[in-house]
Amino acid sequence: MKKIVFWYFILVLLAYILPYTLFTHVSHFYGSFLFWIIFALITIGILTVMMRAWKNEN
Amino acid sequence: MKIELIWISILVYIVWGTIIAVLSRRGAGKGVVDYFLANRKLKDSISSLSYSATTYSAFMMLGLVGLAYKGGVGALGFELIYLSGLVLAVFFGPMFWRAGSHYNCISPAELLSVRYHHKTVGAASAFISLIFLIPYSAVQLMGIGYLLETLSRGKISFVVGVLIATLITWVWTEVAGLRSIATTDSLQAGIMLVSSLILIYVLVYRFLGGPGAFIHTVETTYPQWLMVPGNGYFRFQTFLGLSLPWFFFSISNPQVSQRLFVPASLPKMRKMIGGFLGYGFLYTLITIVLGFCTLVLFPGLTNPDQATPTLLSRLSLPPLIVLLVTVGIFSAAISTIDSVFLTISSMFVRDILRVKKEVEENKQIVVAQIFITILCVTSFLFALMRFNLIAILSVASSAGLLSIVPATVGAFLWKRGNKEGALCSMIGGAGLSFLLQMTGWKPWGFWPGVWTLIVSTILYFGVSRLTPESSNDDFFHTIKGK
Repeated sequence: MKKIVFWYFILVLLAYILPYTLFTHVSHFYGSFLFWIIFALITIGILTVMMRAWKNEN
Repeated sequence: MKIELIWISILVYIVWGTIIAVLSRRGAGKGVVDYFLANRKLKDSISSLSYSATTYSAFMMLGLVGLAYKGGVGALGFELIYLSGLVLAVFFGPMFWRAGSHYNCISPAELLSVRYHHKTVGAASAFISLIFLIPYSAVQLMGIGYLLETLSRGKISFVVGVLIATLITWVWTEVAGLRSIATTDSLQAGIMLVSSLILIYVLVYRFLGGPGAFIHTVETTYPQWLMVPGNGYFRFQTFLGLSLPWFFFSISNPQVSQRLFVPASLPKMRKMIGGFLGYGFLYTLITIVLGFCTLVLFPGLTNPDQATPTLLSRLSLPPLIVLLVTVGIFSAAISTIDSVFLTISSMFVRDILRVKKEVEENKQIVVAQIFITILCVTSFLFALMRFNLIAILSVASSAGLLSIVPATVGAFLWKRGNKEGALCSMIGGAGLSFLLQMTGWKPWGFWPGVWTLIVSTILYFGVSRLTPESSNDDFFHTIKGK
């Protein structure tokens, strides 16, 4: 779990860094717009996997 | 838009919501757990939709659309970074849930009191939430006031709009606590999504020549809006200042973190959060595209918060769609305010009132109901002051609530953290946030939220290290689960 959370935060950092560096001059929807959408979909996927471990507890 | 149509739609909305709120009382118990947490048993779909409706306020269709209109794609990044912050709910959610069930915690502040062995910690957290959430609630009321005033071309005044919203909130919260809030929320979440989807479809296909033509127009006419900092609005400091408080939203805002106590089991919590993630992604995308649509159709608006109202009032849209979207925005605001008021009232009776002496359960509910009335009046008066910029005020509230984050995270992860550290961190951070926001001072261009988080984190670790350790092994054993 800790490993996943670590990589997750790297991903969040990239969501801050890449649009201001790599995509800062891309004036199309396939630039920052698409990047952030893909970022969100990946994070949703990771969170879904993390929640799979939740079981019933008394 | 005919004034009669607006009144009829508001009336239908009020009657329909009130019937649902009243019906939700069936099978309700009498204790505080039932009133504030629906006896920790809500249906999966209702808890998920209610979580969504509580999180997404009128800020989305008014503030976020305005931000996209003004600054472009940065608004999408800011909101999706918020969504990614749900990792905190996923990581800490089971711990919240276990501690909540084991110690019978009703408010998130109560959990802090249990962990730090001192009721003043919970009281401080409750007081900070109260201070920063009143402007946030007032902003929601303002959103409705502006919307109705614009749509009716001034026939429904701002004050009347705010008053209607306040009264609805009051009734739906008082009727059955979380039961009435959750059931009305879940239906409101449906309206919010469906109405905005229909609006986007009509705008793109009827007024903007379809998705291809719309994308081409934006790329050729407003290329700066597709980059950051782009047109200059989303400088990095601004982006960080807006997104950082919201990344922590799921554990800093008590009306949301309190929902982690509600599911009957962890699999049910998974359904609640999972459903919200899907809803949030879709709703965010819709509101951002709406901002771009307004930019193409009505460039040059001086007040970006008026983007959606302008779209609804100046475009020849079918009246039914305009009314549906209006009710959708209404729903977004009400579903947030009522949850905020219920949570604050629970914190008032559980964490502030009980600092000195215990209060009977029945009395707690009566006091909470009176306090909700006071909150309604206070927020109504605050809204009448008409502060500018909905988005900025919303973020300012979240920035202040960041002061609770280090003590909350430390409560679960750092055994060495103690009440002195928690108190200094919360009070120091909140005080700084308040000061920076009142003076408008942004040292080195960074927003109050950034400084609040840094200072409250340093205070938490520093003061905890410098003061005697007070372990709480039972708490750490409990949150680990079996």
